[in-house]
Amino acid sequence: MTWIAAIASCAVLAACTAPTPPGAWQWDLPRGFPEPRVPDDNPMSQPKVDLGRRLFYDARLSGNQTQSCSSCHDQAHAFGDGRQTPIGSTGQSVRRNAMSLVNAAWNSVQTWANSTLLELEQQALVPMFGDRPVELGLAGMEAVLLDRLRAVAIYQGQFAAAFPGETDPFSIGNVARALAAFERTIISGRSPYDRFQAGDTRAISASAQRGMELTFSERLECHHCHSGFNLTNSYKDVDTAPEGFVHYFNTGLYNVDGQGGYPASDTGLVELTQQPKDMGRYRAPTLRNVGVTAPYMHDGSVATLEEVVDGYARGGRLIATGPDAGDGKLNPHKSVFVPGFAITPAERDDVVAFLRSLTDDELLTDPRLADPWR
Amino acid sequence: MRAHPTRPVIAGLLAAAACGGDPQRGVDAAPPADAAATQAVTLRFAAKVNGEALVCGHTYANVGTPATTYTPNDLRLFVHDVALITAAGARAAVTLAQDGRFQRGELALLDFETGGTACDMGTTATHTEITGSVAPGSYTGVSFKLGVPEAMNHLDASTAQPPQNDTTLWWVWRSGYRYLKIDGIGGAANPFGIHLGAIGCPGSSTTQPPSGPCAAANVAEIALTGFDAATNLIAVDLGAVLATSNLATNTINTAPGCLSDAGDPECDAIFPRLGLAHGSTPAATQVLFGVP
Repeated sequence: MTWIAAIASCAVLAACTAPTPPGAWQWDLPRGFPEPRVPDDNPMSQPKVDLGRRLFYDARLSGNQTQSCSSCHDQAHAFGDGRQTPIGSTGQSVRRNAMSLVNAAWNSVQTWANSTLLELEQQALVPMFGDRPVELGLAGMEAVLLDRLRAVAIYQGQFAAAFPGETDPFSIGNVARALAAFERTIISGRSPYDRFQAGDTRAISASAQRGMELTFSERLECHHCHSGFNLTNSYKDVDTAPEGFVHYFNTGLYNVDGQGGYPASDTGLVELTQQPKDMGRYRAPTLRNVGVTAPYMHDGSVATLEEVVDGYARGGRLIATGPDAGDGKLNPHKSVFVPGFAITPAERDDVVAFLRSLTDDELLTDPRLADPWR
Repeated sequence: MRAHPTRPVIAGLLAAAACGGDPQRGVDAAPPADAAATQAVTLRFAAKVNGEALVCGHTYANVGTPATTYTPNDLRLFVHDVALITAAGARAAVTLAQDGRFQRGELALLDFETGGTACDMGTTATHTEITGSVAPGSYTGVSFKLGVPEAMNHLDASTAQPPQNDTTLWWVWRSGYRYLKIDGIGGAANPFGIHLGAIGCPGSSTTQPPSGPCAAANVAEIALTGFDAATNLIAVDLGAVLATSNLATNTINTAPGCLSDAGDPECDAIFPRLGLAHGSTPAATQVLFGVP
């Protein structure tokens, strides 16, 4: 739809548009993006988003005041961290690659493989209070954290504005609610690919266009898991059932025991479900901004996009030697969508060119998402 | 209010979309028939494997030719253009109830899989009855189309409204939705599924709607006689449609089972049993639906 047509259809339909109450939240959504589903007990508001943004960048949110959420979710890396795996505030290694937070508002479930973390409000508590491993290291420091926040003058006004009518708005629950509200505004939809989809046929290169056709082809099968506007089938919005669409896949990354096993340090969804078929299963992340979120996979064990494509082309990764040796291609738990495919070097370059066209440069520098303390 | 001075058009569009008029999100419901001049109708469907009730993950013996085992793990399908038929052959359109989940406009999704461990590409919710209203009358038959109407078939599944918002029932923009999704495991652990949909849709990009009509829309017209909605079920029998297929093998370098590709030999046995032609194989009488 052209902008002219869009304006015209707005004019025609204006008569039935309900008046927007003063102060009501208005989403700033890219073309084709549906409205996210927001928990009933945490409605969006600008004061809450502003508070969440300030907390997101505040090192008071770690026990030793050395790290904030942004330490592992960095705007320049599309709110991932660019490391193989993160290092927590006390120096402990975190086992899974820091996920990009972009468009997390539409994830049916959060994180790589925890089918119980449905909402960002719940997820925020894990890095704050988790102790295996220590991330932000706030376990047992709830009162300390809240006292720290109360002592900051700007927070007195911000908490009151974000949670009006509450006698004492300084609570861990409200910290998580504000963080989640801010995270729901980390929206990526201004990439060259989006401009191409909107009709600008020159927005992406001929190579990227060929790569797009390959990505959405039955030969490569990428789109069965990376589908729709957010390029993932882990998905919910206001129109879906509350639980959304929840899927996990084994992509043949490991096969350490010849029976489909993943390294004992991280076996995926099976850790929670105890169902053998869930061995090595993880959620498909969005492909948006993958050009700036290397390295890849749940453990950051694949360095480049070229290697990612090669792994899928082979139908699973072969690790020849070492403790993780094994042929992922033969993993019996592997998804049917990872059978392997033939691809020429030029075609591989095309696929990578397409993946790089998903980088939203405006997002990486959007001042509305930047550190408000600076 | 949050100020977005650079985006007034998008805000206006979204407000307009709330009225239900945005063509990007699919066609609107037909105007409701006058309640006083209609009667309620419920079409009840029952999924079967050779007459036995279908249970996700259950292994059935003696399916296909030669007979082998079959363990289904998905059965969902779209129907539209539902009508009841009088003994004289007159057709009365059924106006579908708009439930915001499984029925929208003239399109209904029938969902027999139960998600969970056995059907883990699906959802726990099921929908096995089509509800709506029809002109009062005495009817002895039912007709509907298996598929998605062309005007609703090339949306983005993740932005379309229910029931078209499940990406597992969708290929890409150009080819559209899977009208019928049967998946399961045949003998010798051979994956064998049926994904029915339009093929040969023209266009330069898979991520854009087609530039013209698809070579094969593959929408099947179903008509059943001897049917009274008050007393009869409509059986959806996987065993019948798979009856002449060898579920223990698959032609090398073709999709597992029949995923509608023009050159897929497994579709030669399947398509006629859905009432459709496949390449040079002519259509025959459909056997997927029946009135037991």
